[in-house]
Amino acid sequence: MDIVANLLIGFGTALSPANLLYCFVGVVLGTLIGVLPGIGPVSAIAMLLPATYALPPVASLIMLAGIYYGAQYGGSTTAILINLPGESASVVTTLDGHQMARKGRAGVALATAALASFFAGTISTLILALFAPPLALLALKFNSHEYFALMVLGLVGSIVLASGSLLKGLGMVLLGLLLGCVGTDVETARERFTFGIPELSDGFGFVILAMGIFGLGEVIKNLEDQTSKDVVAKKISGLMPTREDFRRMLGPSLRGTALGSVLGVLPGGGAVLASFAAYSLESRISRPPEGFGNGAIEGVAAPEAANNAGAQTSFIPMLTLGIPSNPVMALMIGAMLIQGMQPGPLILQQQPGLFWGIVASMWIGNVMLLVLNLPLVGMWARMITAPYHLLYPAILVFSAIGVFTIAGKEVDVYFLALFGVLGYVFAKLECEPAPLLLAFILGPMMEENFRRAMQLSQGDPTSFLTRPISGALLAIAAVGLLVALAPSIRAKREEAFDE
Amino acid sequence: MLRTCVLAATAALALLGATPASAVYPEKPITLIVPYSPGGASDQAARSLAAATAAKLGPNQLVVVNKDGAGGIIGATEVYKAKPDGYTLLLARVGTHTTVPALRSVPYDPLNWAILGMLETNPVTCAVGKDSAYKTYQDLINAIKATPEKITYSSAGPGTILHLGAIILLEKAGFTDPQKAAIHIPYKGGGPAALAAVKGEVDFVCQSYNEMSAHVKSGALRALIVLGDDKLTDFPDVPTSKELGIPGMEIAIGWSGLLGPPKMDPEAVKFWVNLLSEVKEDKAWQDTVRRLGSVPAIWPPEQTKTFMQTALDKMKKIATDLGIKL
Repeated sequence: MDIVANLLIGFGTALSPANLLYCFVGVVLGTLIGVLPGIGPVSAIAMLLPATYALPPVASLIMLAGIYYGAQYGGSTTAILINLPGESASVVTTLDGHQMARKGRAGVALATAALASFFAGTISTLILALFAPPLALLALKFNSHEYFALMVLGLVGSIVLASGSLLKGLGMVLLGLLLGCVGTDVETARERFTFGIPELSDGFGFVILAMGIFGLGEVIKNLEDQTSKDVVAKKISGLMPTREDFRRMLGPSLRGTALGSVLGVLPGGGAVLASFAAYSLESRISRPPEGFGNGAIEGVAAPEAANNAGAQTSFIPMLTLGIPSNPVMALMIGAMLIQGMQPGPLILQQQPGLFWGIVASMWIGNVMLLVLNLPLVGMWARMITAPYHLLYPAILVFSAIGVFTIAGKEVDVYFLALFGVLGYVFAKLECEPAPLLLAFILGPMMEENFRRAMQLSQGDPTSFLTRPISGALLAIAAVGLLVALAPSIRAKREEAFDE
Repeated sequence: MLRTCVLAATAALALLGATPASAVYPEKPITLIVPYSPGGASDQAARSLAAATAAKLGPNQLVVVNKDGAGGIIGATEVYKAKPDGYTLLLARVGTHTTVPALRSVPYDPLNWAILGMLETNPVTCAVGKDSAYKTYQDLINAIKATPEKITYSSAGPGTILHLGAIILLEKAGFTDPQKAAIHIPYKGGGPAALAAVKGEVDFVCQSYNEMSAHVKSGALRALIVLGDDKLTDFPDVPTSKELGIPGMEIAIGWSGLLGPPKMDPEAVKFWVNLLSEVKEDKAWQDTVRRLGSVPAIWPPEQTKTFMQTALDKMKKIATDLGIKL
């Protein structure tokens, strides 16, 4: 078996003491970066890049990769504990993860996130080893038409994310699309809705929006609500998942991994969709007793598995085609070029040690992350019981620092405060903000791809339907929309949420 | 957080007493502002420079800070207004100092800076996907002539040197309306633009060589022409515009330079001009720059200033002649 021989080469490379050390350094740094709100893997890797000039190529890539998927692990910690998503992938985790924490199951939620991530990491490493070349070709099939169709499907799915009134869900989607319009138009380079403020010329930052609406909004709401303090501070019931919890997280983890692995391969936006898509799918399939949005373990396992699987498979187009699927991968290509290596189809033949070494190190890194994270679960979970006069100021200060470090702009801190108030208003109006965030991410990409697709097809709108992949995706979206709008089903849906 | 650690570490080193007490520049770390996001050509240029000067600067390292936004104007404006003590420098780009000022008003005078020197240039290269029928630049031009307003090309965005480079090239090829002869499809950044040509979504792409060297080397893209006079070191067979008898394309080039705020402390200016002349001879730095697909080009301040002036004037004229505005 080729695959066995290949993986042996890989483990041979990755298990050398030096490479193990770099892998460890990478995942520890990544976890730290993930836990600190605002500091993302892009800026961390950019800062560390010159330090890798002197390292051997395999070691430097193993370390950088470790930072990247380590950050995916770390990001869910703050999302669960204090409702503060540090990056787009952990927004969905706040929905049920934080509710679990409020019910005294913070430990279980954190352990679920770590286990689901590990599970997804293991499977997607295998996928990477088995199917890298054919999956890479999928990335080449996705042009502007297909991206537009995928985004439409994602947006239709986002309405499912909204618990409660369908009207409110649609309203939040529209508001998200509008917020996404702020900034410079890609096509003409004209500014829109910036009111002459130069800092708005690139639109609002996603992290600022997410941290404000989720994290700060939550803090304000809790300050007002005396009773909620008792709810969170009540005794933590069990740190580790029970047998029943394990049974419930298996299916969602599997489905999340499958969705994440496929979407992660698509450059630009695929990985962002993964955790949202996994959550939407799960809320259609699973029937947790407590219902989604109330601390369902399925709602943590699925998106966490999806984002970790997506993070791993996003290496496929980078390694096999030289195509960066996100800014982190673009930095990794830079790191490879500096080392005199050429990412692309030839890398498998010319540098098998490197390719398989990275693949094997990902699995080893995932083991390290699990070993690192599980013992910390107890410590993190106790943090949530800290007195409020300490916890809340700390959240505010760390959020402000995190937002400021993204671009070093003061005005971002004011925007954070503004979105915090907005988050509070949404909570008062009982509007679920997750669809807003998804629309905010997807809207600009949808518009860009739609206009480009129209230009490329010389203004022919039927081209969206005649292209097979785009046509199929739009058909699925149409069916989804019909199902959501059909009166009988809608009644049932509202009934389900009333329970 | 990481930066704070680095700063704290360097501060600690400084306290250990490597430098005498007298105020010799530099006596503290120097901020180098990159007006774009991490990972791009400007960021690479800044980080290569920081690595090359690390040994010489000791505890007073160049600290690279990315201040992205408004096509580079936010970062550039900040340095323009910074205290001219030599502790805030700008990694200037063709965007901040040539194309954007040529197309719209900016809050600074693009020529009134302390010019420390050019660092790197990025030749613009036009390429097609590997399955494309166009084998040479002439094939491509013939196709555009045969099917006007049909052939598409991608760029990193409207008003960038890559977009303008393509327009100038088409004008020189004899098209009366070079903005309409081929259809411009803008993308968000150079990576997606190059990828569009790899996938065959567009017919060709004009892009800085460094942002598509990976695709050209892997064979996914075929380079047809390099704009300007300099050949690609990796692909000496690809003809330059000069060789093809197209004059005046040398201004359509990407570049990175090191600038300070106007009226910058003369001591600090002298320090950097000297240090850059040392970096120029540094083999390790040259190798790093070449591997990233750029051309090492440390020029003295006067030459840099003349180039910046000429490029800005010509680009302004082209923008007026062709009616390009942002």
